[in-house]
Amino acid sequence: MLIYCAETRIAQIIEFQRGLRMKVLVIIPAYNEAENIPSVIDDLKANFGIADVLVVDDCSKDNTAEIVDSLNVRCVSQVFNMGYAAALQTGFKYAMKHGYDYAVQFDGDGQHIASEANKLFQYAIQNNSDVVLGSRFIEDTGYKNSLFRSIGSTFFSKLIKLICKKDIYDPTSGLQVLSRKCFSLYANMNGYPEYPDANLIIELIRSGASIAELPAKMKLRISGTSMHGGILKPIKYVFLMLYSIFIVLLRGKAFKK
Amino acid sequence: MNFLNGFFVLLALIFAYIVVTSTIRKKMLEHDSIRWIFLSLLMLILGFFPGLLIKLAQFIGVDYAPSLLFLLSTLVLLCFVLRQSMQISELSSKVRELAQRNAIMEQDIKDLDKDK
Repeated sequence: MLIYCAETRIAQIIEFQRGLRMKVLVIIPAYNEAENIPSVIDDLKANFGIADVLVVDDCSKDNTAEIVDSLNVRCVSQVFNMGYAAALQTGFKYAMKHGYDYAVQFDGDGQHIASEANKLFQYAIQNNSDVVLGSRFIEDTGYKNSLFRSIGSTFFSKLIKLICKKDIYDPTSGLQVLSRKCFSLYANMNGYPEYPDANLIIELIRSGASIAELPAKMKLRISGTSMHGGILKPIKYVFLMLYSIFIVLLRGKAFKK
Repeated sequence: MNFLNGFFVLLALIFAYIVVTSTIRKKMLEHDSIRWIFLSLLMLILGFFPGLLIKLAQFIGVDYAPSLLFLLSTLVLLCFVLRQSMQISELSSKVRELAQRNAIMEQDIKDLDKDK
């Protein structure tokens, strides 16, 4: 009994130190988030201190980049405005170049909570997961979504269940922890999709990646306008996503397990 | 369905096949390839229902239905080429911007090395 306790204790210490040695980068794509970004960075420093933070400024028209620099946080300013996905991919390329073990996708509008990101990260290193999604819809976290987005989310969730037989309740979640294997794939991906949601999840599942989904609390937007709004954009999204999934199914495995 | 319609349908299918395989091999972006697929879908519909074209020609007032087909296909191709012109212009300005920044950055690096 005593020997067993000692072994588990040693295993815990090794895990803990392994966690300490893990380099993790929080990637925040930001466009005109001057108002929200200081509180986001403060939250991360306070509640996810072991992580390095990289803000990818997508050619903001306001002084987002200056504010981030003044807070002593790394900021990469994109040469052109190329959208959310390209900013994220820039973050992945940075993570590759600087030898990070894990990357965390985090929104700059204040909707994501740093302690929740930390929770996902701890789960990832303990379970050796390739991807850990922070889900708003596994349990009722009180998050209210616009009607179109709820329908879209449910539709793609069911589609993923149909194709991969796996339950993913929040495929469009922007809060994700990715292992090096995954983000290196994304960093080098020639056609990294404009909307990187269900299509990438399906591709990863079919390649044998281990994907976990944990409930994560999120806040509603503090100020400014959301990236996803209106009626035309969701319709475009659905068509593009369906076509992307179709291509993914035809393409085959992204990487060998 | 006579031979001409079948030929049209076959053409649409071959076209769609080429577009999809190009997308799979990442030679084309999904955003652009979806537009080409949409076009081949239109070709497919016209191939299966040639009556549609005749009705449309009567509605517009064109006497010879196939000339409407030529007009439509010319207009569609014109739109595509116009759009590609715009894409090329955008890419040219982006390449220029990158080249100029690159040149200035190399000079800055030389200056930094000199300071050391």
